[in-house]
Amino acid sequence: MELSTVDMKRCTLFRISGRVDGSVAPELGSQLRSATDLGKYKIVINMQDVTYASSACLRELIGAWKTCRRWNRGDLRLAELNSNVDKVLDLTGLKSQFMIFDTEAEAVGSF
Amino acid sequence: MTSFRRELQLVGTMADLPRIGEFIEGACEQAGIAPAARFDILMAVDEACSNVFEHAYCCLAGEVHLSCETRDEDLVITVRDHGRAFNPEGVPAPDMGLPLEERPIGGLGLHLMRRLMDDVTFSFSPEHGNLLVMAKRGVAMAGAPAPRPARARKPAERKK
Repeated sequence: MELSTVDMKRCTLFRISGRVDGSVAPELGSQLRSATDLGKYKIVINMQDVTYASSACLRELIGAWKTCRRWNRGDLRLAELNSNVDKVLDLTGLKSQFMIFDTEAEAVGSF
Repeated sequence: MTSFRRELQLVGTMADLPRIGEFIEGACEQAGIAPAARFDILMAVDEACSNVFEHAYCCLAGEVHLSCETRDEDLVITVRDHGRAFNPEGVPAPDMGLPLEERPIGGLGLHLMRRLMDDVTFSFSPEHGNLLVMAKRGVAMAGAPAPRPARARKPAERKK
């Protein structure tokens, strides 16, 4: 898994790539907590280049989503899902829970 | 009738999940599994092995034995470990109707395995440990596994 972070004007953008399985998902969770610990509760995650997202990845996304949305202070939104990630979110009933955008620009602009 | 079988045995941790994925990917390719089904199989095995390393072995290194075989048009995967006994009844299915705020985190791996495969059966014996058998129906080209890649020939030995 590779991960980069960009602080935008109104939100923080994460770009993730590669395989996010149980061996690396804790690192994703740690990076997301680093952002929320600094008070960055408006987050966009671009998942275009994620080749595989396991349930461990979903757990980290759900945990961060809950932290961001607490007291209505922000949100965690997803962008550019590829077919594999889309399928996993669909099977777990999460597609209707996360706000999902076709493009990174739309997701960033939604804040 | 079994027409194709591959096995992998390792003492591993979560860090070995990519290696297990490569094994399954290679086995699916050699067995001629329909490409559309490969992602489902890969994911189900990854979730199964994640559970073994995290729950059965409590994140310590442990032995896992995997087999991947075709039975007519079906692909059957077994995962055996000798960690703590796993009781699937103790894992409640995630309630998709609940808003995410109220949904407990967990149980998604088992849920995915059941959605992605046609049969998922767990058993435990003190002697043989945990055994998981998962099947995907109608995805193997019956009796016609893809040919294995040709191995490089060794240079002929010189006669002395």
